[in-house]
Amino acid sequence: MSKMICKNLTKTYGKKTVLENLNLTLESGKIYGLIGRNGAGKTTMLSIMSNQNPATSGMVTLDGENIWENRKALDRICFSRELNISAESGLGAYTVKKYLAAAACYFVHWDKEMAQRLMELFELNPKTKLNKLSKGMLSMVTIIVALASKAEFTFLDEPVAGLDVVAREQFYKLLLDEYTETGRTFVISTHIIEEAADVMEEVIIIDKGRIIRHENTQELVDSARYVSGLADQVDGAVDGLEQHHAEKMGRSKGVTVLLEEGQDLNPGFDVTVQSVNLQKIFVSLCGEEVKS
Amino acid sequence: MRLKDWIVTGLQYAGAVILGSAIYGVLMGTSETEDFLTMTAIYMLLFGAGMGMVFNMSVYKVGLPAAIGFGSTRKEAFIGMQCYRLIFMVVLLGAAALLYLLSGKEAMAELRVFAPIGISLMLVLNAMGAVMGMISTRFGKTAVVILSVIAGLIISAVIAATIILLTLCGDTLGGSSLAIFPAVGLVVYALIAIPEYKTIYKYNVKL
Repeated sequence: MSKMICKNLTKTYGKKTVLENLNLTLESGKIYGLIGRNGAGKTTMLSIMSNQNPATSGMVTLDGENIWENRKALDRICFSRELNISAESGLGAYTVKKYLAAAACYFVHWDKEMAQRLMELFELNPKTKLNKLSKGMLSMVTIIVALASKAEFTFLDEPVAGLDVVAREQFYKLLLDEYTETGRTFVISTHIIEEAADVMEEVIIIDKGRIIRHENTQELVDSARYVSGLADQVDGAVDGLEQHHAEKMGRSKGVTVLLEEGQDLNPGFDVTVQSVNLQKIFVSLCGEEVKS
Repeated sequence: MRLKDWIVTGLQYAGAVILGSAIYGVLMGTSETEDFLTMTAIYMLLFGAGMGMVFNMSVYKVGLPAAIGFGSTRKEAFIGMQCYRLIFMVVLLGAAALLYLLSGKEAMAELRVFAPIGISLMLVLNAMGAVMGMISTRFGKTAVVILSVIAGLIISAVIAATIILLTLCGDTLGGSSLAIFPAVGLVVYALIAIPEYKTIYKYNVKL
């Protein structure tokens, strides 16, 4: 099993620290979901993990080898960025065909047939310039690059941004088909959490440049409860447990708790307990009001 | 080494300049075939030098982020960039030489003067393009407008200086004195290559 390890990654731009002492281990053959608020450091993290940006300190290794400027390691990695074609960006003049042809020059395992097939599936005109494509179509181009690269570790940055429901479903199906067939490792950063939750084996939650959670998705969801009721009853039921995002309304209170293995709510209190989905867990963890 | 994209880019840009020069040659309406060929060759060298500078800025905006974004190492990207420039210059100089060759023996004598100056112009303006690419990478949008003005001034100044030099000493220049032009160009280019490598090494991809 291959492992990509980030050790004490820090990235600063001037005085602003974007990533702070970040540690992470990715194992091959899994689909990871990377979620975080805007500006949390997702793209920066993936950029450093793919040699696209240098870290200020710390390092990324793949099977023990530092990936920085390492040809052998980079042949196994693809980070397909979200394309933001602004007036300033020169990439806008590229046609879809030219952009994919450029990608084919660099990725050693590039699957030309797959790229062609996906272009037809997404109904992309190869002669269209990137600056004429909609947000959703640009996402399709990034998906084609990611899948056709056939890289062992593939990172996708907001691959479903701007895609309609049908295209999103197509993407998840393509992703799962490719994963089943090849066992490649995917890291998908997304804001559409609930949809993606079904395909994420593990979830990585990043907030303000730090990884605050990295767990099996199902185990995380199973461990979460939303406890509500009269404030004193809720306080009693959750006393000593990991609490997040407490909300008070008059005498009532609601709080999300994350239970560790073998833990349960304190008995003898009159509270309502509900299960919590991944999106709500994320909001609880990254929301402003946090209490523990 | 992942150099294919750089080589293709160099050939495409050189092709565009050759085509543009030929069209300009036709539009200028030189009636004699020999004049048309030599004039087109001169346009090719002049446009090549000027456009080489502009293309270099675009390479920093497009080619470099695409290369590193698609998994190229920075060292490969730096070498690729030099390959692109070399191909661009060699193709244009080759095409210009071919046109002179087709023009006859008298024109070949002119080529002995124009070739070293053309090489020098291309090296210096490519180096200037690299400098501007580095500046726009570092300072972004605001730098682009200022750089466009500076680029125009540099192109005009270098080409005007060359023409004045040729007019004043064209007849006396020859042999070893001409060799100084490409030598100076090469030194300028080499000096710029050092900070260029450092800039690329620290480059952050933004698409």
